[in-house]
Amino acid sequence: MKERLRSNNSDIELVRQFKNGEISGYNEIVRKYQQQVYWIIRRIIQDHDETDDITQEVFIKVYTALKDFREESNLFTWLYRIATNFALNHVKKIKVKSTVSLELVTEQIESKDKQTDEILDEDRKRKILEAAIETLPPQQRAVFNMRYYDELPYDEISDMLGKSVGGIKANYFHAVKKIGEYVKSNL
Amino acid sequence: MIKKKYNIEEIKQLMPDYVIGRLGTDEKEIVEKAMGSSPELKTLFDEISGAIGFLNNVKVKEPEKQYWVNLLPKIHERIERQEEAGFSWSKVAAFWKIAVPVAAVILIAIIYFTVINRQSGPTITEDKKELKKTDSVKEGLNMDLLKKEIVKDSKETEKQENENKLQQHRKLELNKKQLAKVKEEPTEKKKAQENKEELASENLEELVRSTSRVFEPLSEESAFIGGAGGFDDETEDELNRLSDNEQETLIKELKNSNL
Repeated sequence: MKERLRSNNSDIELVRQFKNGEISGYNEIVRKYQQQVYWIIRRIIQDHDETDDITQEVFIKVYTALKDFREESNLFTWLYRIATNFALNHVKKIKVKSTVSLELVTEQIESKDKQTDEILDEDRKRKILEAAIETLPPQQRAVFNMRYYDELPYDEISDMLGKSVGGIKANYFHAVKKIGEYVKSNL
Repeated sequence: MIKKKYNIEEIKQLMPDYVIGRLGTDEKEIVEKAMGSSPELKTLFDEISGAIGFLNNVKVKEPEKQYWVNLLPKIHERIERQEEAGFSWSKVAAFWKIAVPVAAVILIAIIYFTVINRQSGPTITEDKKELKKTDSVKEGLNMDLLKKEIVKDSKETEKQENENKLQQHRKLELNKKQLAKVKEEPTEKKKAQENKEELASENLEELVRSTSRVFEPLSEESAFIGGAGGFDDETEDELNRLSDNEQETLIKELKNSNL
């Protein structure tokens, strides 16, 4: 997930193919970046089905806007920006999901009789993490994902979100601190 | 190279990257040095370490591999459905790019001409009504003034004419008077002349009388009135036959004839 393929020269070639009417250029772009785009959205939205829907919308948007894409720009950065905006807009539209309480997580886990402790533990941690991330405001959530999971530099995050570097650093610090506090209180 | 100085808040913000191991050498030293002298930073370090450790150990449930295979076809299906329905974001965008400015221009034109028509029609705004009223009042006043002026002019003309007539009449009268005066003047002059003449004639009469008296004793001798020889006998006899009045009249005539 942390790998980002930034082969700009090949990206430009794919874009040119699409602009010349070759649909294969677009298909190749989707195959190349679908996982990154999916996880960018998934870490913000948390739910797989909703992430699937938003991912498709992102690539439909890419299909309509690719003919106007300026080749001097970085394709992945452009995709990243679209995916983040779509995800954040989706989060703002729907109400923030109520915090998944530890009791509910425990209840769900205990009902699965055949699962091993390790698996249960993994599942439980995942749920706690999802719940912890859902407590973050949309911007902190996006900054956390970009910095922790995608390892983007602060200036690039600042450019994508249109915020100052100092503000981005503060967002990241507070996001990690809140996740730590939530996990500590629910683990 | 001047090292940037960090305050306590900035050092706190470096902590997650310090825990993960993403700080540069200089920043790493700054954090470690600050932690050595701050219990607060030490506590914070422990908290952040716990969070990052948890994050690193959570395995995110990934979608099944088939999901990635099916994603592209699903995307194409949706694209085709949108194109069949005649809907596409690019069409919508193109439509709005043209429609919105055109609609705005049409709306502005409608509003503009509606307002203009209302201004020229019967329904006029209050301000325009006031202006129109003021204008009409002014016009009426102007008309009245004009009429008055015309009347005044005609009156003045009439007056002037009357004055002219009067003046003419006065002139005429004056002329008459002058004429009369002139007529009278010769009479007066004549009178004056006559008076003079009368005086002269009286003197002459006196002279005559005195002369006649002088020549009476010398009646035998020729009277010397009128010259060296005086009247002749016939003239003297004639004179003696006349009355005094007749004598005076004759004497005047004689004077007037400049004899």
